[in-house]
Amino acid sequence: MSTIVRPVWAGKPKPVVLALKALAIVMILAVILFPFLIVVSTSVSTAEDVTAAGGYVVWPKSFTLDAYQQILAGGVVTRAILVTLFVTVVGTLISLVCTVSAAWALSRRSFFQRPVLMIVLATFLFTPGLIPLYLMVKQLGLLDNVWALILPGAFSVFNMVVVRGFMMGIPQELIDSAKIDGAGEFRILGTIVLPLSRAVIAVVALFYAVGYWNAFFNALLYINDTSKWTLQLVLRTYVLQGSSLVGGASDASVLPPAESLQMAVVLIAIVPILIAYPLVQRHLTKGVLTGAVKG
Amino acid sequence: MNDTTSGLSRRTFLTAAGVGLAVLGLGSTLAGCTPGGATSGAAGSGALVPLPTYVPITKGPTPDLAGSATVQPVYLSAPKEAELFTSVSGKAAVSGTVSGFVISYSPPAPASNSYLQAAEQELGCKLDLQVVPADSFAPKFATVMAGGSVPDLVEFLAFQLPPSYPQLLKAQFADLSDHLSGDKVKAYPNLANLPTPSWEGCRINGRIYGVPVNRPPFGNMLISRPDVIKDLTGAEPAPKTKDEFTELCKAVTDAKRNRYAISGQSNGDSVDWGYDFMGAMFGVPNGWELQGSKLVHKWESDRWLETLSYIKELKDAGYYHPDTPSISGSQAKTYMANGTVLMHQDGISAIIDPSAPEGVVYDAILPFAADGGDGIVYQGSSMFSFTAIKQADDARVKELLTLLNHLAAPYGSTEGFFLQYGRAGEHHTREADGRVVLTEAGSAQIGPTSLNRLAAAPQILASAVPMEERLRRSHAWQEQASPMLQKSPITGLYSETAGKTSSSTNALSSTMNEYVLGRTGFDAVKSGIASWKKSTNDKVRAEYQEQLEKLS
Amino acid sequence: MSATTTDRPETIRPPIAPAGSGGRPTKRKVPFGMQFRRDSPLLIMVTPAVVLLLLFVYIPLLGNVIAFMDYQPYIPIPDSPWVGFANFSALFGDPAFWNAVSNTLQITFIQLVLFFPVPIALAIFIHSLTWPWLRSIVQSVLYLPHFLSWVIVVGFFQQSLGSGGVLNTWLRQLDLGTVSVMSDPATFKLLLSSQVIWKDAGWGTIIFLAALAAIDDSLYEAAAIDGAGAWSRFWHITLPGIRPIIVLLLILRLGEALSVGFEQIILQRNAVGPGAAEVLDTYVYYHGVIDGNWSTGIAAGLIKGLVGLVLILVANKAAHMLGEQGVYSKS
Repeated sequence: MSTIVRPVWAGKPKPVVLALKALAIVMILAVILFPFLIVVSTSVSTAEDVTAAGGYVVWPKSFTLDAYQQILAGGVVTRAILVTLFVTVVGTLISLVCTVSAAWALSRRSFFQRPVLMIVLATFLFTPGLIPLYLMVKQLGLLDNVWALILPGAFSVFNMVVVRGFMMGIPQELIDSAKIDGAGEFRILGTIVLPLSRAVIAVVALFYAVGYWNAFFNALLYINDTSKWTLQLVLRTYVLQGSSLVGGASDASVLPPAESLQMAVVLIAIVPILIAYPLVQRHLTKGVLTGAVKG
Repeated sequence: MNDTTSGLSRRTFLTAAGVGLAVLGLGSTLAGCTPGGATSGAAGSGALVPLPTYVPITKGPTPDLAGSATVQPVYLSAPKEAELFTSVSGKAAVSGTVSGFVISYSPPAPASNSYLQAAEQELGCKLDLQVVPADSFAPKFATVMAGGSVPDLVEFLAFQLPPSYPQLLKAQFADLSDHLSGDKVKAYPNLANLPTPSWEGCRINGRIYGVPVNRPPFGNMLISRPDVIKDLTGAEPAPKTKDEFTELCKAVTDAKRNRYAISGQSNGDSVDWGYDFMGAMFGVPNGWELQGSKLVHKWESDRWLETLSYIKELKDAGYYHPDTPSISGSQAKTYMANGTVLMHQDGISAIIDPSAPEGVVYDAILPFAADGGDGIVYQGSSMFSFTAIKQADDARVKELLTLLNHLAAPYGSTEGFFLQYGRAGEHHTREADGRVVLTEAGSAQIGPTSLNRLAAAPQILASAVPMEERLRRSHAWQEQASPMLQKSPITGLYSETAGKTSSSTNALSSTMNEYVLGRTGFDAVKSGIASWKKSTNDKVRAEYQEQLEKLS
Repeated sequence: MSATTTDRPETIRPPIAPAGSGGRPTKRKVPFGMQFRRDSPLLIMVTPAVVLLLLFVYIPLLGNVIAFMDYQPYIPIPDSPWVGFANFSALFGDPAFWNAVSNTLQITFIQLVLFFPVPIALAIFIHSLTWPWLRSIVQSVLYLPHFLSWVIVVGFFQQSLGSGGVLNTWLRQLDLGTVSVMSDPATFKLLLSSQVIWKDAGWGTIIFLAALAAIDDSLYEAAAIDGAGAWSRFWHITLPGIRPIIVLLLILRLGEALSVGFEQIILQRNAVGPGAAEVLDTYVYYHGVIDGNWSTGIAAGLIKGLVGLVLILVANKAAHMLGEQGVYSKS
C-alpha cells in the first residue's frame, strides 16, 4: 500500500473540484445511510414504537435488544453460524481453486480451449430445473449433507469469465520470460499469474463468500436436519414467525415485532461482510502491476 | 449484476420459489371457496363415503363461554391440574420411526430438544419430522414428492393444495375410509371429537384421505378497530346498510391525518379489496351458487358487478388506503394496530392477534346486506390442513392413526396439556394466579417441534397473553355470525381445469383491479368476464356439475 | 495418442508454437498427442470446473426436455406426454407473452443506459479520492444496500414515496395534491432503475475498482511527465485500462437480457398493472408456475437462453471489431 498520499505526478486539485467531490460524498452517504439508520433504529425499537411508526422507525424512542435476544438466544442461530462458516470458508476455497485454475487454463491457447470455453459459457445461459437438480443431488447421496451446499454452486461461470478477462490482460512478456526460464504451467500460475491477479481474485473470493454466506434456498431443499441449516434460512424463520398468524401462534410469549426482527436479521447477516470487506479492499489498491514489466 | 450463485442461480430459484412465494397470499381469496376435498375426473369414484361421526368429548374444564358446532368455546384460564382427564388408552404403540412433513411458522428447535424426547416417550415411537418454513412450503413439497421418498405423515395445506393433489393422494397415500368413515372413527375418540365441517375437506374422490387440523368455519371477515371508531364517531361500528357503511367510512377517514377507513392488501398475484366482505354485502355467493341445478360462478352475476362498482366508489372517495395494491397483509396489520387503517379484511384469528400493542381492541363488523337485510359470511374449509398417511399395510395405518389420535387430545386432557405446555418446571411454570407460562426452553422447543401440525384438538378461543375483552368479542361475533354462514356448493369437489387455469383467473382478477384503480373501464371487466367464461370457466363448471350429479 | 511423444522432461522442452503475443495461430500441424502432452497441465487445471458443470448443470439440463412435453407431476419424466413445440407456440401466440418480452427488453435497455454506467463512474470517483480512509468509508457504505432484500427496499420506497407515504402525506397536509410515483405505469421502468441503482450500484463498483487497481501506475507517471493533464490521463489511460472489463461485463449482461429481476417487480406489479410491469419471469410465474405447469417455465427458460446466446454472439463480434477480446475470441 502506497505511503504517499498523493502521487507526485498528479498535481494539486482545484478547490472547486474538491468541494464538488465533498458534496458528492456527503450526498451519497446520506442517501444510503439514512435508510440504514432506519434499519438500525427499527431493530432496537419496542413494539409500541414500531407500530406507532407504521413499521419504520427513524429514531428509537426507547431502546430494546429484544429482537437480537430472541434471535441469538437458544443456540439455534449460533449453530447455523457455525454451519455457514464452514460452508463459506470451505466453499470459497474450493470455488477459488476451481475458478482460478479454469480461468487460467482457458486463457491459454490449447487444443481444448475453444470447445471447453463454449461448453462452459453455455451453462451461463441455460440453467437446469429445480427437480432434476434435486434428483441429481439425491443421486449423489448428498441429501442432508453440507456438501450439497457447496458443490452444486461451487463454480460460477460469471466469476470465471471475469477472472479470465483480467488474466488476459497480463503482459505476455512476463509469461514468455518465465517459459524461457523453464517454468511449467503450474509454476507460471503460482508465481506470476496469482500475484498479479490479486485484485480480481480477492473480488471473486468476496463474491463467492457472500454467495455462500447468504444462500438459503439450497439448504431449504437439500437439508432436512435443521441443525445443518444455514444462517439465512434460519434467520428468515424468525421474520416469518413475527409476521404470520395464519397457522395460529401456538407460542404464548409475546414476540418482538416482525419489522424489528426483519431489520435485526439484516444486520446480523451483514456484520461478517463488514468485517471481511476490508480484507478484500487491501488488494484493491493501485499499482498491482507497477514495476512488473520493468527490464 | 454479478452471479454470486451457490448451486441455484437466480433463475431456477425464481421459477421454483415463485411457486412458494405469494401463494400463501392466496389464503384470503381461497378461504371462501376452497375446494377442500375433490373428485377428480380421472377415476370413477363410486359412492360418497359417509364422513366420520361427530362424537364431541364433553369431559374436561367448563368453558367460560360455551361453544357450539360453529362457535369456539372461550377459556379464560388454563386448565387446573385437578381438572385434567385422560383421553387415550395407553401409548400409541407405534413401532420404529415415524417420519413427517409439516409446515412451520417458527424458527427451528434447538438441537437438544427435551420436549421432543418427552413426546416420543409419551407416544412410544421415534419422530423424524421435516419442518418446512411456511414461505417455501410449495417448492420443498414438490421436490420431496418428486424425489420419491414420501414420509409417513404428510401435511396438505388447505389454502395451498398442491397441483393435481387428488391424483397424488390416490397414488401415494392411504385411503382411510375403512378406518374412519361413519362410526368406524369411534375407535379413535379424539379424532371423532373433530367437528364434521373439518372432515369435509378431507374427503377426496368420495374417499377419506386425511385427518384435519381444525379451525373455525368462518372465511374472511372485516376486522375493525372499534375503540378508535368509537372515539371518532361516538359509537362502535354497526352499519346495517350499504349507505350506513359509506357514511361510516366517510366519518372516519382523514387523509391529512393519514387515517383511512379501510385497506385491502396485495396477495402477490392479485389485490384483495376486501372482496369477500363486500361481495357478501351484495349477496354474491360463496364461490359458486346453485341456481336450480345449474352452477353459477360468483363473477358471473350482476351482483358482482355491483360489488366492484361499490368498491370503486369507495376507492375514488379516498376511503381506501392509497397504497392498498402494494401493501402486504402484515403491513396492513401494522396499519390496523397503529390506527392508520381502521378496517381490514382478515381471518377470525386477527381479532386475538397477540402481537397487538396494549390497549388495542379488535372486533369484526357483523355482515349485513346492502339493502338492510341479513348478511352472509362465507364458510371456509374449517381446517388449516389435513395430514395424509403414506400407503402402508393396515396395521401400520392403524398405528399411525393411533398416533394422530393421541396428538389430537382435546383441551383439558392430560395428553393435550402436555402437548401444549410440555413438562412442568422444565417447559412451563404455573403462576400464583393459575396462569401457565412457558419457560424459555418451552418457547424454544414446543412450537418449533410442530407436532400440532400433524393433528391437534379442535381449536378453542384462549390466549396465554391476557386479552379477555378480545376473546369475548370474537366469541360474540361468532355467535351472531353463525346463522349467516354460507357453504360453497362445490365443497368436496375438484376440477382439474380449475387447478390448471389459475393464470386466466388471475388475468381477469388483474383487469378488475385495474378497473378499481381507474386504469380501465367497466366494459373491459364485462368483456373480460365473458371471455374468461368461455375459455375456462364453462369447462370448470361442467366438471363440477358432473361430479355433483355423480355424488348426490 | 500418438506414440511419437518422447519422454523428455517438461522443463527443457522447447515451446512448440512460436512465442507469439496476441496469438497468431501456428501454421504447422502439431500432432494431437503432442498437443495433449503440452496442454495436460492446463487440462488438469480445467477439470474440476468441468466436472462440476457436468454433474450439476449438464446432466440436470437433460430435464429441460420437459419443455417439449406436457409435464405431469408425480410420475417419472419420460411418462409425460410429448407435445413437441406446443408449449413454445402457446407462448408465442399469447399477446401477454410479447408484452412481457417487450417490457423486459425495455427495462434491460433502460438499465443499460441508466444503471450500467453508474458503478463505473462511482468506481472512478472513489479511485480518484486521495485519502485511503475516505476511500474505505465510501466503498463500505456504498455496498451496504446490496444486502437488503427487495422486500425491505421496496418497503422503504413505499414508505417514503408511496401514495400513503411520507412525501404524499406531507403534500396532502399542505394541500399540494399528491404525486403517484409508485403507482404510475408510465414512469414505472424509471422507478425500477432508480431502485436498482440505489441497491446495487455500490456493489457493482467492486469489480471496477479491481480493474482500476490493475492499471500500471507507471503509465500515469509517464503521461504526467509528458505533460498530460488529469482529463487527458483519464481519457487515455484510465478508460482504456478498464475498457476490456467494461466490454466483458456488458456482453455478459446482454446474455441475461431477458432477466430483469423477479422479486422487485412482483412486489410492485399490482400497483402499476401488468401492462407496464409484466416481465418474462413474472409472466412465466403467472402463466406456468402457479398452474403447476413446469413445462411452460422451462420452455421460457430455453427461449431466454437462446436469445441470450444470440445477443452474446453478436455483442462479442461487435467487441472484436472494436479491438476488444470480449468474452472469447479466436486467438
